[in-house]
Amino acid sequence: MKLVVFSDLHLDAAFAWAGHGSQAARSRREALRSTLRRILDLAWAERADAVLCAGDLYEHERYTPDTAAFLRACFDKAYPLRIFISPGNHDYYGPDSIYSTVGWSPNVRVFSESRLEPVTLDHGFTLWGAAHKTPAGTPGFLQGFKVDRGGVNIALFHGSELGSLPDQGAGKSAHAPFREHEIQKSGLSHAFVGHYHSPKDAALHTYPGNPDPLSFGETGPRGAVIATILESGSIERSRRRVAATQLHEVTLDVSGCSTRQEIRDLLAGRLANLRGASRVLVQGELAREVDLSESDLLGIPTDLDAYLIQFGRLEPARDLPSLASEPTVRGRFVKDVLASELAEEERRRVLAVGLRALEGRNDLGVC
Amino acid sequence: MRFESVFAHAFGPFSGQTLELTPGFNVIWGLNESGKSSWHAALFIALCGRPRRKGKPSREDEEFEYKHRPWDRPEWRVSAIVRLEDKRRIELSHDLLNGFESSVVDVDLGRDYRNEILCEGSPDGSAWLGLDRRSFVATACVNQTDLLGVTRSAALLQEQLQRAAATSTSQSTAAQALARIDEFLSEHIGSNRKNTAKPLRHAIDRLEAAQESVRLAHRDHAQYLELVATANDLRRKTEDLERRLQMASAAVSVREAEEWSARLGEAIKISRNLSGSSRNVEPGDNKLEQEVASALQAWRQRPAPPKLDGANSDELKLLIAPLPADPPKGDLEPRPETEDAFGAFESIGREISFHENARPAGTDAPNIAQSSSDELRTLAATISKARPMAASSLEEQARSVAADRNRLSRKTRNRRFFLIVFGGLFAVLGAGLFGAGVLPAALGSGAIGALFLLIAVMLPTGALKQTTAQLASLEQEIGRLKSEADSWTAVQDQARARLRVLGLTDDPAKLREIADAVAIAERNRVDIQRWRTRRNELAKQQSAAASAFWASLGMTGNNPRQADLAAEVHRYRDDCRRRWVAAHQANRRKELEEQLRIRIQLEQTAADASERARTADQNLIGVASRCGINGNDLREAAAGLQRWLDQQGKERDRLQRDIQKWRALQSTLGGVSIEEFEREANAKAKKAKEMAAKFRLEEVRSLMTSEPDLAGSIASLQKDLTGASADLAVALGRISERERTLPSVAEAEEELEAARLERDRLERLKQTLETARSFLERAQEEVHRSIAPALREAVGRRLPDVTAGRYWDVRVDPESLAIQVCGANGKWRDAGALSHGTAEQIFLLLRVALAEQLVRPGEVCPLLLDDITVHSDLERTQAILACLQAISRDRQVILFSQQESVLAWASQNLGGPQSRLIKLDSADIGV
Repeated sequence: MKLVVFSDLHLDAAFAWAGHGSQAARSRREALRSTLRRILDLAWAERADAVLCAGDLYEHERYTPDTAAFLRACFDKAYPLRIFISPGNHDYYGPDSIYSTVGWSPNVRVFSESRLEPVTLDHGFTLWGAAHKTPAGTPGFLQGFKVDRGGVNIALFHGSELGSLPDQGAGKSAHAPFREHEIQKSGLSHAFVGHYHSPKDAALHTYPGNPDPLSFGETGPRGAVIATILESGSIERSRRRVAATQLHEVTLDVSGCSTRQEIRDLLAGRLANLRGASRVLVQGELAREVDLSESDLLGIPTDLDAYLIQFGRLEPARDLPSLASEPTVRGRFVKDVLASELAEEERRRVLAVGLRALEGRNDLGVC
Repeated sequence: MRFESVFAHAFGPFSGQTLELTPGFNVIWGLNESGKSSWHAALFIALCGRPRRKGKPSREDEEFEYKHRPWDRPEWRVSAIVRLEDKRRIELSHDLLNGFESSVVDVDLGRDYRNEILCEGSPDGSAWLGLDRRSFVATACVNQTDLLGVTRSAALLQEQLQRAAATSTSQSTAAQALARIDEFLSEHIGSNRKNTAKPLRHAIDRLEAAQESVRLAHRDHAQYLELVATANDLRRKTEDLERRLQMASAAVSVREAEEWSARLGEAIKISRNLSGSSRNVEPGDNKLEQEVASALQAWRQRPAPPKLDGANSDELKLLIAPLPADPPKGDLEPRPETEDAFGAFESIGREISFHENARPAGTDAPNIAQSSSDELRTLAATISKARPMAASSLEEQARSVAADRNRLSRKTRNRRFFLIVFGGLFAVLGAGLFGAGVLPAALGSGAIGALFLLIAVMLPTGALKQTTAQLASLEQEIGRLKSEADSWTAVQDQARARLRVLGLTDDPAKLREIADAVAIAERNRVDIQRWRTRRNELAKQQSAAASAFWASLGMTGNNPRQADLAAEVHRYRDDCRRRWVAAHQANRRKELEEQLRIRIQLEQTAADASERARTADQNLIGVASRCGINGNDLREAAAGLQRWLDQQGKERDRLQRDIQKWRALQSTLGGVSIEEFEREANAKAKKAKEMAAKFRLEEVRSLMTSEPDLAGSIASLQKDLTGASADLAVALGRISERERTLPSVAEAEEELEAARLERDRLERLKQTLETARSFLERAQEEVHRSIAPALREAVGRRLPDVTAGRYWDVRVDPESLAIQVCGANGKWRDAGALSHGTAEQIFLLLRVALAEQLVRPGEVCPLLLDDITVHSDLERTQAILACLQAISRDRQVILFSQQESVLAWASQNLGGPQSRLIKLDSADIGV
């Protein structure tokens, strides 16, 4: 039994970092759709028996009418490839959700109950799926659950494996929580689970992770999981990259650059041949005479949908301890600021503003 | 720090040449093109080196290289030996071509100090002074433009001082930096007030607008979802109705097919049984059945004889005979109005009797003509009033007082007379003595005379006034008493005259008795009058009650007035009682007569029922015998007849149904053959099967069972479906309409995030700017306050020397660093108001003082002066040189000049180990 599994595509997600009305955000949303098409293409190419989606296929609070039409057409085109969807907390199954309003093609099965329901994939292979029916407060699907048949039983749902929750960052909240030992206890051979964006291949469960990064900092191998399940219940997994574009993290060291143009040229070189979107972290030792701001680094022709400028430790080429020893206003200023309890970043900005002002410069809009 | 020598390995026009310097005042003189600027640059670059910068060199660097790089040799090197105040002798060497290779080596110990003074990638010797290469230029290097600036504006002096205090460079003053921050805050941030158009306000407005947009986007999206959900419900409802309609239609088809199939089978069966014809099927004779049914019904409905209880008709007749046939005429009970009238009559009679017993007694009243008891009491009070007191005693007292007053009056008059006489005599005597020239005696006599006259005038008259007042009071009281006595007499006379008119005595007691008798008689007359009035009223009421009584008995208008109402009412009551008994007996007779009539009827009915039952039994036995059922038990015979009748009915019904079915079959076939009918039935069965294939058969069967009126149900479902389809179309239309204007929630949120980031960025920048400003302002204040006294001390120490004693004190404003100097006259003057020469000297002292202030403690900063006197006249030049010579006692001064006057002054004043004049010769330059 070969399955292509994915989750957390988050169609229609907002890309706050891209700014309002930017083509970048729209491009990112289009990229998510392309990723779904590539997942289905992958399933065809791999001759998969079915495609499993473990929730958060789209975002209910933001979906557009076009998304419903897109999904229907996309899945219809994939006929007779079977597609199973377990709605998550972002695309929960409700009377106004896409799942219940769209007339799906026969190859699509959306689980609509808040308890695991069985579907026979093949002789001896049973898929159990369930749906979130509210955006929050869904209890664990494995609580008190026990399979009622033999063969290989696998589960598909959207939930939080509590043992991995701390690894997901502070912002991740638990939905439909479970623990891995509950999988074995319930008689399941394996569970394909969505919700965590960081991919994870555990012994008894798999988090595919979001196949197309939604925000910067999402590292690690991402994509769709090709899972081959043997009659013994054992599983073989591999990941295939399905995102057409990527989010890139670029660090730009401006040390040694003596003009803005040098820095722009340097950045253009770093961004060449990149696709998708990029976040550029500008840091290094900036020459005193260079007046650098975010707007100076934007507008460079690239193949990217967008790139974002972020200033890191951008130290001016100043010998601060030496300046602090001056018996001058500048020396006193530097000494006081260095001795203050300001946060590191704020201290850096305050020093930059004061020293630039004393140098007679007007570029006080420090980043 | 002092330069010992600078060695130009290859620098500008020099090649392997050395400039030796003394630790004091060095004047390096040379004409144009003698290499002064090159040595000046070599000194600076040998000490401070050049910063190592990546990338393209700056314009300043390019210009420096253009000026000072040897153009005919492949090297560019310079070195210098400096002595620090800690006695170290350091050689700084810079290879300016090969990657700025530099070395900093202790000449005596060979130690490398390069890393100790690294700045911007290369060693900078000014770091030992606590400066860097830029601040060294600003502090230790003074050129002519600085002095010219001072001569132009005193404010410039102040600004330069502030600039140096701010950064020890010539970049900006702290005040300018603060102003620059303020301007940036104002222009690029602004306040968050509503009425501004600055960036921060704009960002806040944008954020608020974005928040509103997100709210609206979410609201619109939620409304859209509601529409979607509503449409979904309607769609499901429509689908359900369609399904139910299809199922109902399928049920109808199934039912129709089954009916056709059944009728086909029945037709085939009938056809087989009846050889395909109905002509042999006719109803037979059923006369016996009718007789049996009639006899059986009559037997079952035979009446049961009624059971009769109670008195029979004869006994009732005996009871009726003694009772009266008709009820009597007249009242059976006393009339209420009669009883009420009689009761009222008796009540009024009792009240009249009580009233008679309460008649008031009469009293005879005395004759007092036209008077009243009140007048008599007033007259008695008047004549009994006592006479007022006589005034005789007061008259006697008044006469005594009048005599006293006359006596006192005479006595006073006599005293005054004697005093006036004596006074006049003494006055005359005084005049005489005055005429005789005896002045003292004349004055004494005159004074005595005046004294007597004064006493006469001032003589006291209090007793006389008191006596006169007492007499007036007594006379007033006497007059009042006399008036009262006259009034009393007149009233008495008037009262007694009235009594005489009335013919009554003037004894007050008698008068009061008469008045009391008159009052009692008046009260009795009133009581008697009231009694009589009430008596008459009661009599009228009694008469009215009697009239009402008789009227109630039907005797109105001619009632016997003298009749005894009590006897009459008793008689009336007895009559009523007798009539009531007679009426009761008459009613009893009627009841018994009705009972007798009913009893006779019942007795007749019982007789008839017995006859009919006997006849029914006989008929039942008769028809049973005809049907072959024998026996005398009537019940068994009836049951046997019923079974016979049922069997006959079934046979007839079956035959009748066959006939009806055949006729219906013929009607259904419509003239077609059974084969054709069968084909039609098969077609309907196929159609029904197809329609029912969408549903489970049980569902269709259940519907067929539960819904008898499928046609009505289908009509109702079609109506509902039409309505639901219309609703669905409306809902889909609304969704389509909403989809055209549905905002993107994601884009609204992206705009919100962008607006929030911009607002946060500006607020963070504002915070940063304000914090930087705060630190800068505090640093400015602290530095200015600490630098002012130091400058004052440093300048003041040398000021008398350089100004030839004209000014001996200086003060610096800590806020503005404005400078004032004080001369011998003790007056303070602004430095800007002084002559140019004096201002230049003060400026030099200030620069030196500033160098002392800014340089690290323990070190001394040399001064590199380039043609600072180029625009000065001879006198001013000499003054400046003298000033520098004085300064060079504390620090090394290296002055480059091309002026002859400087050369002349140096030739005369310099020499020895601490000062030196160095003449540059253009011939030394390796061109």
